[in-house]
Amino acid sequence: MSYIVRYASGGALDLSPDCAGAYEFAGNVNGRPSYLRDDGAYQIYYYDSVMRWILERIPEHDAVWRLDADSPDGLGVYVNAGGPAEGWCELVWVDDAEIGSGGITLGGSAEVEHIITHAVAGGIILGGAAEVAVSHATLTGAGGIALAGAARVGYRYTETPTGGIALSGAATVALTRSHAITGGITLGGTAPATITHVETGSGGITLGGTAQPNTHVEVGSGGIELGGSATWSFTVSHRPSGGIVLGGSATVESGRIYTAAVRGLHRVWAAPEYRVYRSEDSPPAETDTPYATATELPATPADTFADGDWYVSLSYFNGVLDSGFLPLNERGETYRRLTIAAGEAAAAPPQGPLDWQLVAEAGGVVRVQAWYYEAGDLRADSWAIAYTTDGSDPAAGDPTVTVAMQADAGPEILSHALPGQADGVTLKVRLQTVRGTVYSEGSTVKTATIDAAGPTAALSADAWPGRLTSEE
Amino acid sequence: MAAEITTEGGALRVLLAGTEVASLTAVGSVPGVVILHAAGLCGPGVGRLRYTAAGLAWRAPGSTVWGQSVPVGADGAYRLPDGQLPDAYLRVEVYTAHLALGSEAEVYLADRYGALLDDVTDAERTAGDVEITELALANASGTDLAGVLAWPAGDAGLELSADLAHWYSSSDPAEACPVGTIAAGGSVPLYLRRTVAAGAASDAKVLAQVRLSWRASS
Repeated sequence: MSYIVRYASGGALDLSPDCAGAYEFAGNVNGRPSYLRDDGAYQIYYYDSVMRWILERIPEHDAVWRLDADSPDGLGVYVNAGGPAEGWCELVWVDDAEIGSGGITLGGSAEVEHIITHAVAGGIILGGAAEVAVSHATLTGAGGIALAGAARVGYRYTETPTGGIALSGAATVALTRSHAITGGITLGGTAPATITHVETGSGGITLGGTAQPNTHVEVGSGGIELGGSATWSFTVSHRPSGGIVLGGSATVESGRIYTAAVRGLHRVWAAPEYRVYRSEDSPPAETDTPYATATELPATPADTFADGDWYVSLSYFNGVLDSGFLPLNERGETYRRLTIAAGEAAAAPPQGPLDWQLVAEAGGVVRVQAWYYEAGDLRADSWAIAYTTDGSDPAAGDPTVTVAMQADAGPEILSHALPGQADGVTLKVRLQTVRGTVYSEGSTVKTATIDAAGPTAALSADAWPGRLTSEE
Repeated sequence: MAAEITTEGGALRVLLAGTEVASLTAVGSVPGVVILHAAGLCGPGVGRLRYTAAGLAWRAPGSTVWGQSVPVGADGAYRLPDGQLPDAYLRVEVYTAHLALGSEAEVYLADRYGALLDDVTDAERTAGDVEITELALANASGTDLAGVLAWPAGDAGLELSADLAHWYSSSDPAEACPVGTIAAGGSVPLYLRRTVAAGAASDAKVLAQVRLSWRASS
């Protein structure tokens, strides 16, 4: 704690031109605190025989100044006490100080109205009728705040005073919004407290005597303990794990805090639309950005297509949700292929067979069975069957035999027997559909191994003597 | 209605147009028990309900502790607290003749559309919209509920007011909307203001929540 003689003038200046400076507490003299300048050249003390505060030079003791008014702790304006020169000097409390490990100690009737300070390792200790209003203190030290006697503290915002806050006698505290008071808050005697918002103090809150905290407290693991005739009139939430302990005639005016919630979902709608996607050379992905939208179908997107093989997909957005790609043909494919050549739409290949198989028959014959369906202009007009007997895969688009389809619309069935092959031959078959000279894509090859020998024939069932006849 | 459900956390009812807000849909129960109401604090998910010789017990979704068993000796309505958060309770109607000792069931809780606020139409979204919804906070108990506070949660950007003059938007309970005291059997209004900015994006699932706290003798 420091005082500064901030200003001196007139005779004071003549007498003590250098009395200004920082003064530190130097113990009590005549029941009052005394202060010594840092360099030991001046001191301030209370001279009880004349009931005045004295500022004098050391060691001469030749400058006598008295306090002009009965201000506690020597704070105020000093005037010449009868010396040859008139003048005055002013002592002020150090405002906005950062104080080290020594902390702040007030005794007697000391009064400090306002402290803005940081890192008070030694804590703040008030005794007697000391009064302090701490408006913003970051108390990171272990000293905490201790109030005794009639000390009062208005404590608006604190953080982590490890030593906690202890009140005794008639000490009062107005504590609003504090965090992490590890040492907890202890109130004794008749200390009242106005605590509006305290969180996570592991030391909890202990009330003794007639202490009265109130309003909103979120207490940590230390719980809440009431003793004597302490009363409790504030709300508690988050259920301190240390519980609440009542002793003596202590009362809790308010029950626990109950909580509730109501909840509901709602949507934010947009206009529904069809979303058109396109991609070149491969089908688009649902994560792509639609290249066009339409409120209804059919629709003609304004964007044109460059030459190439395009795949177009479609989804429906109902205003909040997207359907994902919709199936666009009877095969369930989620795209339509569009071939653009020289700026014109070229016919796309027909679709391949929906299903097909090879069926072995007698005499080394293999029958190709398949079915196909496609509506519209892209429908194929023939089956294209390519096969090999040397184990190699037959080429696509180079059929060994073509079979004309029978119907112009509707499902088409293929049942075609390939020429008989020798036993053991590996037959490989590729089946496509073709429209004119345009073959379906994505065809596959199936394999059959010819089994032309067959099983041994049944023995002759000739009649023998004694057999039963069918009539019998 | 049994006394158990009008005390403690069950005392405050939130009404919309005269009907209690049913925040959650509950599916599943044990024989002889009909779920009347799942407290919004239960949240969506899967809870468990069981009937033992000690009574009915409830464990809310996400909770790891069964609530205290509630004896159900007679037909009627009961309040079943969760073990970790007693305010995450179920209100149930019990038909004792159909109870099956040792039965246990999963209870599926899901958020409901339109439980608190209606949908935002495309026209409202396009032009922007401010909508005020009036709720009633009703005290179903026989004692005053003091220090009632309300604050918004969820992603709907709600503001709350008790007087249509002062609005509170913070989700910090320390900055909640003060509602005051609700007398026994009485109710007070609470206003919800939803602001949708012009041109806001569409959204299929916006969760609006109002959290409440109060003090009551226990």
